[in-house]
Amino acid sequence: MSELACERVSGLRLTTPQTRNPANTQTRKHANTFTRKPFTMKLRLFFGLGIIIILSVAAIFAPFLTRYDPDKISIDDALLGPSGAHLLGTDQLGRDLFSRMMYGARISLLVALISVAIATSVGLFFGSLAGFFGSVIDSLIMRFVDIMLCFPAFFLILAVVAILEPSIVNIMVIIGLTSWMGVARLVRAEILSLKEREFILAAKAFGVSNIRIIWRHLIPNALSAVIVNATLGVAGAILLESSLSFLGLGVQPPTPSWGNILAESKETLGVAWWLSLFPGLAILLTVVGFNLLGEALRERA
Amino acid sequence: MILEVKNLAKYYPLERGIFKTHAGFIKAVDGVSFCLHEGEILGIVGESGCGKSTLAKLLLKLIEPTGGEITFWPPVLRLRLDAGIVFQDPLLSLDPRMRIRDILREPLLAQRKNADGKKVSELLAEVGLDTSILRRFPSQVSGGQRQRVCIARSLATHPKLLILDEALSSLDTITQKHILELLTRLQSRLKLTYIFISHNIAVVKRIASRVIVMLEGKIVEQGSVDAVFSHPQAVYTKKLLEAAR
Amino acid sequence: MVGNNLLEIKNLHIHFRQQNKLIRAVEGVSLDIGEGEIVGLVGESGSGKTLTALSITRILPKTAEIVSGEIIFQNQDLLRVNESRIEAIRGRDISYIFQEASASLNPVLPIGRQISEGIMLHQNKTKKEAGDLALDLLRLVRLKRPEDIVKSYPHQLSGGMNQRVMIAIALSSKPKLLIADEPTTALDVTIEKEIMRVLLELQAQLNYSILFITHNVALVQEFAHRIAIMYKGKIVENAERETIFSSPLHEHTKELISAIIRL
Repeated sequence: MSELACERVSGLRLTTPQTRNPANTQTRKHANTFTRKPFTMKLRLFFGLGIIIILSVAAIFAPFLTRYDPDKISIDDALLGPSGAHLLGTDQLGRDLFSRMMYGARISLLVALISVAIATSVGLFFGSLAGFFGSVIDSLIMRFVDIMLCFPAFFLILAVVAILEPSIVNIMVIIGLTSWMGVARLVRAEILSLKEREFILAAKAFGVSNIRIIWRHLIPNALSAVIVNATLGVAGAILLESSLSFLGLGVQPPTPSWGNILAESKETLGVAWWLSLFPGLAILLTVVGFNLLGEALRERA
Repeated sequence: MILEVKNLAKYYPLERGIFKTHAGFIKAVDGVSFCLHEGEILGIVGESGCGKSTLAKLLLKLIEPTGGEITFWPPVLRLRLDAGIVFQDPLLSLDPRMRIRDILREPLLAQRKNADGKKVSELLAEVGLDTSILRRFPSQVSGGQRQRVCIARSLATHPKLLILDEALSSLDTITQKHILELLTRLQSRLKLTYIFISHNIAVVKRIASRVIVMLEGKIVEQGSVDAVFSHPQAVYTKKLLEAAR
Repeated sequence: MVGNNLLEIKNLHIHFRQQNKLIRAVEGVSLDIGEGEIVGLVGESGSGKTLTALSITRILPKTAEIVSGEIIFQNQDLLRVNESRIEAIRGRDISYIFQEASASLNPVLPIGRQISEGIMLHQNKTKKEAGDLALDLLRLVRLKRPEDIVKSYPHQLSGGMNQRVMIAIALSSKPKLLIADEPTTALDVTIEKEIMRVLLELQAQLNYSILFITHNVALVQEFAHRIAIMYKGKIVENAERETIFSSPLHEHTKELISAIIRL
């Protein structure tokens, strides 16, 4: 069967023959020509997944990996640099930065994952309704999306957080409910093209109900694009949470999150470089990790 | 008689320019009338754009007609239960993310019928496949097997009428022959009525008893296969026959 | 009219990689094409016929790999000549036409430019000369009103017209070998007939060789000098057209012939 598929591939349209050539002189060397592109994809997948797995392990097993209680204040040990006793040093209250970062990873990842899950579900729901039913329902939903997109998202979040109290749950819900529009647009576009496909027509011809067509055919086929989007979305959500926490409107101290650790480091920037460097690096690495994974998945799909 | 079509028409509005101003109609199907008797095989031939596939979709109410009537006899005939369809490219008409087992169960579940393993293996046996392919995805079986799956799926609800829309066109010649044999066997065994839509005159001549020749949405000639193909009246039919020789 | 060998494919092996599985798509194919000869290469989908054709000028997809073999054309092995040499041969001495003509054409360039660009690239002509040649070529493939065609875009033409344009482009460099990969499969029967007539009349006139690839043995029956039957990566039978049809040897050939449904 795979032979069959290869005939398909090779029979594919060749726009200009000149552009598609293995750049090799000897036949033997042709051997390497097929690996090049997939290899960079594999690298991305490897590093992306690697970073994310390390982070997840750190977050899940934080209590077992740390020697100190992240909230234990010890003024005597304030602002110690990185050393054997305190791997990443301590903050102005003498709390161990390594412990706080590990526990902070829990909060940051949790907030990011749940808010993306909320955004994806809401987007999937509205997007598939709009794409499948079209006409009035589509117009209503998409105009609503347009309106939501008119607000600068960050200021919308700031305004809402300022009114509500900034708890972790609120942050997750707010980030989720202000970032589903992209997903909705994506899902709508996917479904618009999918629903013209013959297998959907076939399902209709066999009397399959609309709900079942959406649920069993359209969403599973649109899912790979949605997963890529969600992966990239996690990176965005981590940045958003960090920014909010940095401004003091996100996760509230003493609960550690990378954003508020970074926020607290402002005052001691001159004397304790480690307090801003390590959380900053953690955010950077995580965002890069999710972006790499997202891009690798996109290339695969 | 199982089906009567009177003056059936489907127009698509034609829009021009960035403001989508109305600029007339594309008449995909334009005043088509014919009737279909129980147990017969009616061939519909014509070239791309002649409206034959639109006609198939109209018959199954997959699209709404602009005008005309479609009457099934007896009138109680429940359309999506009593008529099935097989499309041209089996790879496109099967959901790539569903296993063959689920594909075959789908019409049964949709009609709230018994969809257990026994029923599914009966269907497979009917089209000459064995149960080993049930767990595979459409991309993992050959073109001929895929088209057999499509046929099995359309037989799941025991329809009286099967619409075959270019059902052989995407297949290799040897596979075409096997599927054609299968269709002939099923038709006589299950007393099915076929509407066999194809651009391939030789195949239509082989399988059909009556034939309709379509051009630009209209019927240019209809009659028994022998009459139409040995004494064609319309210029277009002659041209088609000449090209197929 | 068939002269000496123009192209010799010797013991060609092509492997194909799919989801980390190695598929031996072409296994030891040898095929000669004489000057002015029309060879039909017939096989079902997946038989390796298209890969064989693409390997001639090394335009295989990235997942396919030529493992061994020789392709001799004008005393040189096309699989071993350097990149600039093969680029010169590709599109000049050997041209292709494919199944989907409209997909092979650039949708945003007018037809005239697409034809004349190839001429300017390979034949060192001025823009004006190339433009005139483009008109001549369109007349050659019997397109009516070539002055209008040169200004139009692929989507404004029918499938049959686009395929004629492709033939015009393929012939613009006066190739010695034309490789036609299912050129009429996407077309209606009446159009297929016309395209085939153009292709064959021009062949008689210009005497290029044709490697005609199809899954339909009945199609090549009418015009091929020789027919090679390909099955599972191998050529299982290769003989004169009459011999193939009067006394087929291989089981697969017999099956292919018996599957022809005639009017």
